[in-house]
Amino acid sequence: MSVRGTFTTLSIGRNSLLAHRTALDTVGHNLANSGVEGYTRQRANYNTLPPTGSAIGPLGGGVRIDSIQRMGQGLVERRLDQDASDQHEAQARLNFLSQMEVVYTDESWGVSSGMTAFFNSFRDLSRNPGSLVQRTEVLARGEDLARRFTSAADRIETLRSDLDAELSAHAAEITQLSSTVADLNREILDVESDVGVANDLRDQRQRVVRRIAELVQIRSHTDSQGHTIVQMSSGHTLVSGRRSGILTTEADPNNSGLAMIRYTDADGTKPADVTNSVIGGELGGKLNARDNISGDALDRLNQLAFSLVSEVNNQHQAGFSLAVGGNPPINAQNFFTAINVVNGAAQAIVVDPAMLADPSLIAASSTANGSPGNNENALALAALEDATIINGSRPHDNWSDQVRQIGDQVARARRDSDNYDARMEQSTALREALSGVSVDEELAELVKVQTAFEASAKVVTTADEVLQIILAMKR
Amino acid sequence: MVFRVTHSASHMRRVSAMNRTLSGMDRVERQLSSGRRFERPGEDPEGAARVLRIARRQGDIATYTENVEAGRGMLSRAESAVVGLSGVLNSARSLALKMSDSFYDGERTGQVNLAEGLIDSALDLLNTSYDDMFIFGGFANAQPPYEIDNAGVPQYNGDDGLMQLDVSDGARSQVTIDPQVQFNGDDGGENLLDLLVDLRNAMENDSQGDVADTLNRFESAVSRLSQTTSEIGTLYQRLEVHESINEVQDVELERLRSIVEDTDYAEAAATMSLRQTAYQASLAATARVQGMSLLNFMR
Repeated sequence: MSVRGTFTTLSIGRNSLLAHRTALDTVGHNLANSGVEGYTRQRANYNTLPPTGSAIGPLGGGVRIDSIQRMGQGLVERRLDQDASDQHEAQARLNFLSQMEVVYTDESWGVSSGMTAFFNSFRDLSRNPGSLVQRTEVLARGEDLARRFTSAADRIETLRSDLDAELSAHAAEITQLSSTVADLNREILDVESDVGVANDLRDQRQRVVRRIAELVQIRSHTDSQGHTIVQMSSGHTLVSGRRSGILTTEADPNNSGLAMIRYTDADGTKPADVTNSVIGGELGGKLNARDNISGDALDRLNQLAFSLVSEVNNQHQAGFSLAVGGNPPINAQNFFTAINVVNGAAQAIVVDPAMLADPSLIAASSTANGSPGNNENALALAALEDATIINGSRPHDNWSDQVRQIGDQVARARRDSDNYDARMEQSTALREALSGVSVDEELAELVKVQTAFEASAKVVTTADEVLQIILAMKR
Repeated sequence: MVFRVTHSASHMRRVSAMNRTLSGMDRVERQLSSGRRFERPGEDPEGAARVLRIARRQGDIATYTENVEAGRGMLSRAESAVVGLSGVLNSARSLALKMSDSFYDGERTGQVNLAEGLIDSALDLLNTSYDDMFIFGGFANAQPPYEIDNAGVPQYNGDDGLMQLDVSDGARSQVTIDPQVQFNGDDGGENLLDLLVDLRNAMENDSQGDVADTLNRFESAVSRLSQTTSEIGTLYQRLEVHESINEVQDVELERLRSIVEDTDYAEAAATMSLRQTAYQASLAATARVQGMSLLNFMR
């Protein structure tokens, strides 16, 4: 049976001082990082040192810090990754739609009021079909309508191009972030192969993964070696161990030269076009806005412009112009320059130059006898306003349906954005509850550790005093 | 176990709540200042589509109103001309009556200038124009439709086109009359100019019998013109009916638009007040809680 000496007490005091100072450092580290987004609070785990034997049995050996534990939960982090992805996708969609909505908003320069003015100009002409003033007004209204279509299509195209230009920056960022995660995987493993857990590096890696999730929907998990594996929801691996894949963009000749997202794996092989399989996050939201939302909006606008031009031209060709300068009235004249394909029709619509040069060519008359007062074709042209000429719907109904659809999409994007914001808020609150730094909690811990430290110091000074007394006994 | 609440989490929630309240207040404020419930389709997709449909119909009604006005102008001019023509024909009939009773040779010849004056008056009336259109020319309305050629024979250069105008939703109304029927005898009646020229010729030839022959024809022509006036009146009334329909529709559309689009000020003001209170409470709570921690009691 061993005999414990006074030095044992000193050793217990010293270990306790060391342990509490480490705990104090941990509290300080937590407080210092309490405002850092994504920081995971750490906790010093005390452990009682093994007892030593004595005449009266095992006696405690004091305390030490076994580990600095990172209070994180992978499940919560993965949920936050998903929420961040959804939130950024909805926000990107909402931002784009809010800008596109302007095209459908202002009725003073919108397509709807342009169509009303255009068709009514034929009704105005019908009051005095021989009047060159009224004919010039019809042409002005036709040009105005063409400008409104072109302006709306240009605006959507510009928004689409702006969006397209941002895709390459996002692809480059994802590539760079993936490379950073791979580097961190290596660093973390290097650190942890020596001693302990690289808590702060793990936080840093989680923050980088979160940023990737904000850009594109991902799945992540940790492999048996402790590496974080990151895959896009399409299954393409962005980070595997210490290696990372690459996302790049290039002009797609099959999609009007818009950017195609190309994935190349860590070996530089298997390049693949992943444009259609990228979903979620800013990148997914913008691709959806570019290829589906704006694409569909342009298709609908083009269809309306194409049908309108075709029907107006057909009816106009059936009528006859004024007889001017002894020339007989002519027919088979287009009002708008003919458009042969739906694609791009809204930007191609223009009043036929021959009409602009000679307003008398407007075919207000239904007969070839040159009667200037014949307004029957002008009335027929005005009646197109109420004819089901666009896939079974009337021009105004078609346009207001387009407005309603865009409105619905904006409203849905706003609802999604609000919902995902709320979900993100909830998930963040949950993460904070588990992993966040509570200043009150840390301050209380600070007081506790400080008191323990003071008590340990007292143990050391007491042991010292005892030692002095023992030494004095020998003098 | 108590759910841990960190300062960071409560700060995030406070900021988020303040933003939400401020955003709600901003929307109501915009509604109050603009007078419109929504400014963009995303704020009320169905409402925005309805407003467009209403605006389109309002635009159409404005044009229909102008068409009704133009139609009324044309018919008013036509009615005045017909009344004038009736006067000319009555004068001609009186002249014919007087000349058919005269037994003095040469008296009829001496009064030919009176008959020619009546022909000129009738020509002026038959060539009545409105907005640079000769309203009795049918569709060939750019030139005066009636003339007396060098041989002294009446000529009609117009056609039988009838001008119609869109005057309300799905309704088209006739705004001119058919001169071939009303004035040129196409329905078996009298050609007015021919009748006046016949009178003049009979007087020029000093033929008491021929002059007397025109009397019944004048009776018939005057009677036909009163029928024409009645027909014009019918067309005029039809326009007025459409005008009334348009006025009612315009008011109704404005009312509908107001329901869909306009801010309900009472409701918006109450909402604004509620949100202001919530915002103030949110600010006050934030100011009180923000910065409070155990640290305040450790000094």
